[in-house]
Amino acid sequence: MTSGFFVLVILSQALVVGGQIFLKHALNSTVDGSETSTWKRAAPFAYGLGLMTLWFFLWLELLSRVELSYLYPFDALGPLFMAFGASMMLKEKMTPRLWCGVLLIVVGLLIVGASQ
Amino acid sequence: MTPIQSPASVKGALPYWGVLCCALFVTASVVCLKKGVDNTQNLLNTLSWLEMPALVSGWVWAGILCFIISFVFWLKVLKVLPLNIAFNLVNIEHVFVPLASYLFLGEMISSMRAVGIGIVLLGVWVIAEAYCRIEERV
Repeated sequence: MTSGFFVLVILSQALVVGGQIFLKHALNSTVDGSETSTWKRAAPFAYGLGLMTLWFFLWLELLSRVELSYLYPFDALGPLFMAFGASMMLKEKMTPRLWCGVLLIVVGLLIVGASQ
Repeated sequence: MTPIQSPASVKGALPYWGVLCCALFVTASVVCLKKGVDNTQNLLNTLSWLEMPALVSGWVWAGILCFIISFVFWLKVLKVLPLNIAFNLVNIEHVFVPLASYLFLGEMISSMRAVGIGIVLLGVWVIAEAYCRIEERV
């Protein structure tokens, strides 16, 4: 695989994580019942949707180049990015158990990726 | 999963069904998309994104529909669960997708790949079980 392919894969993961963080941020401000205006909530939601849309078309492009079961394990990067992203941006707690699960998932996905 | 007894446990069960539905629709979505782009691969040029030839295929439209449905489930889940936990639980799709690739796309699953899938499943279980414990305390 070319380095361009990997750059695109990493970019797609970054888009997913960024998009999800915006979405969760939008939903959080809905849940806590504070006086956040609808527009203030709509903005992060729109950013989230925008990033997810970009990710979708990038992913469609990647999918046309390789086998699905080959491409999918690259999502292994996702849980790691998300662990850092969510704890930094959303102040979510990372318990040792959660790290344990994340690492298992990442290792599992990498093995799937390395397999023929 | 415990049987539904009280309003509290009903609320507790929702994320799991939501995650499961979300993962299943994502799986259906990617299988449809793969079938779609395979059918139109000869038309699909890296630089021709503005023309969107892939959108011609019915499979791609089915994939997009499934993706939207999964997104609705995802929003419901995300409202209840912290992002970190929801995002990792939905990794169960990494078990479903290779299985679906095998069943519907005729792609092979080697023994090494099966081991990787098993470890992912273990990781998802570790997180789901940890979340159950937090929930019990609350």
